[in-house]
Amino acid sequence: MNLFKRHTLRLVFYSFSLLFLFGCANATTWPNPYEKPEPIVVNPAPTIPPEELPPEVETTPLPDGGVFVPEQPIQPPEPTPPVQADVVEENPAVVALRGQAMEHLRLDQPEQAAASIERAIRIQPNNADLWLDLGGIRFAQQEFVQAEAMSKKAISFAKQMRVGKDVLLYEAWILIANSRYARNDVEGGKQAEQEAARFDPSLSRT
Amino acid sequence: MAKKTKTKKKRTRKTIKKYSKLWFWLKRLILLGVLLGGIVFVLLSIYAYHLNKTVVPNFEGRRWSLPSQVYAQPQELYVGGRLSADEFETKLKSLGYKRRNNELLVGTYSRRNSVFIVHVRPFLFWDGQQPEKLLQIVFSEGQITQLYDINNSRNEPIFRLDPLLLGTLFSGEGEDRVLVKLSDVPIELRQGIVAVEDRKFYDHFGIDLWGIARATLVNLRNLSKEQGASTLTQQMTRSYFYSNERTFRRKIKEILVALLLERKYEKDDILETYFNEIYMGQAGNRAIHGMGLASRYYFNKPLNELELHESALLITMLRGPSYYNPRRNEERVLKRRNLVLGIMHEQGVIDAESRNKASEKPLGVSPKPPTGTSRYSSFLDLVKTQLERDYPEDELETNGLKIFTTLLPSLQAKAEESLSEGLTKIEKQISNKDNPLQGAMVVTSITGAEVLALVGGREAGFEGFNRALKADRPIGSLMKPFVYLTALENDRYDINSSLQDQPLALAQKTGETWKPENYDKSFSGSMPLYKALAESKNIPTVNIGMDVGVDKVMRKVAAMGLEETPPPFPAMLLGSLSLKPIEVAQMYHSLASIGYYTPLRTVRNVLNENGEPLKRYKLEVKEVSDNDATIQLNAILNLVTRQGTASRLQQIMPNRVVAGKTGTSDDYRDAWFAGFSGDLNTVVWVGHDNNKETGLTGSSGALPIWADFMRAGAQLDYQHAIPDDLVMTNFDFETGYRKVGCPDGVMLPAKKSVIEQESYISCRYEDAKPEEEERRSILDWFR
Repeated sequence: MNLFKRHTLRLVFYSFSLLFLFGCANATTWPNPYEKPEPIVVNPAPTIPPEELPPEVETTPLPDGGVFVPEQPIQPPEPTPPVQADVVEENPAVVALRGQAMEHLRLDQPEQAAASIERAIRIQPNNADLWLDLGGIRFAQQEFVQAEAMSKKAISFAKQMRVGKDVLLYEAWILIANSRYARNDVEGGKQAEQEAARFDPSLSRT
Repeated sequence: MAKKTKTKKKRTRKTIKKYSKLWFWLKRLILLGVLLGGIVFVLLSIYAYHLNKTVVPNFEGRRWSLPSQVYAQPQELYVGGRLSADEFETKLKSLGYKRRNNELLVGTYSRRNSVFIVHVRPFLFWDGQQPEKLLQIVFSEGQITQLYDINNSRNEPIFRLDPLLLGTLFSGEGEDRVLVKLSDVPIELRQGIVAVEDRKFYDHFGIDLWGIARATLVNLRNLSKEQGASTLTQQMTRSYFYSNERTFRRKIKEILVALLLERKYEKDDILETYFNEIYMGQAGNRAIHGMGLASRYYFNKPLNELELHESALLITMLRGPSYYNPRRNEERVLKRRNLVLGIMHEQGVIDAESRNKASEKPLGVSPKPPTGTSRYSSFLDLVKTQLERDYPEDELETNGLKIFTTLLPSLQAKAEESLSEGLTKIEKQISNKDNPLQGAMVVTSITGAEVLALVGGREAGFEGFNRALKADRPIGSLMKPFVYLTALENDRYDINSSLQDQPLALAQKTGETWKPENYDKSFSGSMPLYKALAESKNIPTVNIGMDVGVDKVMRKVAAMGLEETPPPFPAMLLGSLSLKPIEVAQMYHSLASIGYYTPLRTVRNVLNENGEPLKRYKLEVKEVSDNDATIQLNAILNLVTRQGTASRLQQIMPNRVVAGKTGTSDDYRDAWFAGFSGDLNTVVWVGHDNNKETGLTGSSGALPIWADFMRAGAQLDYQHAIPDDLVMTNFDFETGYRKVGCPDGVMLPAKKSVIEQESYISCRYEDAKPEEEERRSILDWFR
């Protein structure tokens, strides 16, 4: 494994483990494969409904695995929160798939991770975070042209975000910068970094 | 004493002489018999040896050439997913799920209004095995509102139904198979077959000598050949040779192979092979071999889900699948099935209660046999083409691959219906009865560039000429958006730039002069860019195309999805280029995805025959046009549907936001419509196969079909946030001047520099002038 890849992967895992500390449910940002370790900005995400105890309904399991159909529909104690799937908000399915993707990355299975994210994109095609996720995975796989293209797609959807827009734009431009540097496009990399600086959350703005 | 002995001796000598003669010939006969027997034995042994080398190895499961299986996209279930309760039930039924009121075994479901409980089958996807699950799913107003895992008592965030098997890829040699393991066979079917067909299966060595003896006796007595005595092993080998020859030679071959197999393999191996080999009927020109496929063909469900009466039916059919065809000879089959159930009870396979219950049930076959490959032949053509890049054809047909595609069967059905009904309707209005219209349709998703539906002609499922993939037809005005896109990427042009619409004569390199004309043969002098495109004017298009450079336009078109760059002739600007509908779909997809090119895909991923992941076709994008310019262009394409050549969409599909372009080729031979919503990109072509004029335009011929499909199939409106470099501006439709403070006009995204345009129209109160000054143009006020 060459130095560059090892370096990148280490950072991926590093950011990963930091994210882990903040808890899996708060998964709005993606482990960022860039040079300087940045503090992970996390937007509070709605909690996934907790594990429910079986309510008192007559579901008699049969020996073959079949079940008698109960008289009333089973009522989970907490109702499922209403979700608009095509609005760029947190969606339990998308959250679960991103969780799966992170698990795959942890197991060094980037292609399976990408498959999970693609599945999520089919559900929320205009979700900028998901496109940036995919860009990050491609970067980790050293597919720099795709990494940049995915980041640009993320940027094109950023405008529709209600929260976390600036953070996303910053991360996307940084990813573009690194993708360009990796292809020896120093000039392009610098330009991208300048774009990123406009959204840098750590800079104070007048 | 001596005298007696002498007589005795005399008599004995005579007898001996007599008998010795007999004995002499008898010896010869026996010797001959032994010799003949020896020769026959040797011949048979040689023959057996030959069979052992050639035929017997084919009985090993691995040696079967398994055609690859092709699946549609699986239905994703998640809260918020758009699906109505009825649509969901239709999908379940198409997958062979049976509705029950109790006892929800795997492969069944229950429904109370909009609450379903489904016992979902386990399935091996590319990303791993998804376990079987008992799910409660609740629908409300066309969406899933609850997805609850009953056994684990938790909400399930996302889950897939097992995908629909579309068909198999094979060269049409007549065989098809769904392999099963012995453990997949329901126990009553397994024991039942032995009980009914070959009671001594586990004891004999391949042939049942007593059985043969008994049968021969019975046949001789009745002078018929009714009584069969074939063991399961023999039946299986007969099925393998698959011929109705009842010759002696065939019989010998059968017996020998049966003996050889029994010598080589275990009983259970042979039984498993039996279940995969036995002939179970004919579906058109395809033979159905094996219980796995039979279960699908007759009951539309996997073998392991068969109930007792269904297993009994399969056993019934063994004696003659056409004589006992459950779809044709119901009474005869029912009678024998109940007989079979009786035998099963007699032999102790089932108890009396089960037998009685099953005997009362109807045959239970699915009404229409699934037509397999032929129903989706257009789509499968494309799948094969795309896979052939990575897998040679013979591998596809023999290696038992599992191919997961992008097809959405519900949209496919709707597309076929829209095309077929639409063409029939249009034909009623035009007079030419002898020359039927034809059509093609391609439907893709926008994000993933996945082909969701493909229709190659008006007869769905007909394995004929696939027009969607193969028919090259002039695209006419479908080219225009790309001309304007190239212009909008240029700083000199904005969405309301004024274009000349005067008589035009262009000198060609050939020395000829080209004089393009507008559709209505008129000239307007000048008009705004968006109007020229919305109304599909030819002359402004040629002007703007020549200005930005025809070669530049052609390069843009190629970048958006063609394999070759079209030659830079001015006539190309008006679409004198022939393309296939799938190529047009690729080009318009690049517009729909706001300037990102992704090659259209039909395959998501592939597993090998052991279920191991082979290849995944991953999502890749490439920016091919400027984001801002594409957003502007798409806004004009939306205007096409409001005030342009496709404005009749306002009546057919009111309150929906879509974008698209009509296309009509010279002399009205080809009618096109290419357009998209927020989720679907669809192209429709209508014309005659013999290229005769149809008298139809894109608007009258293709648009109604497109609209009929999209009205039902599309779920999201086209929308896109306006980027910071553009600003939504109100324009006067006819003149293209900016309008300020006016209630009417058209809103379009313009470059920020539009503010700097000097002239504009104002409706503001404070701009209104007293009477005498109104003679001067309002516009002078701001000079």
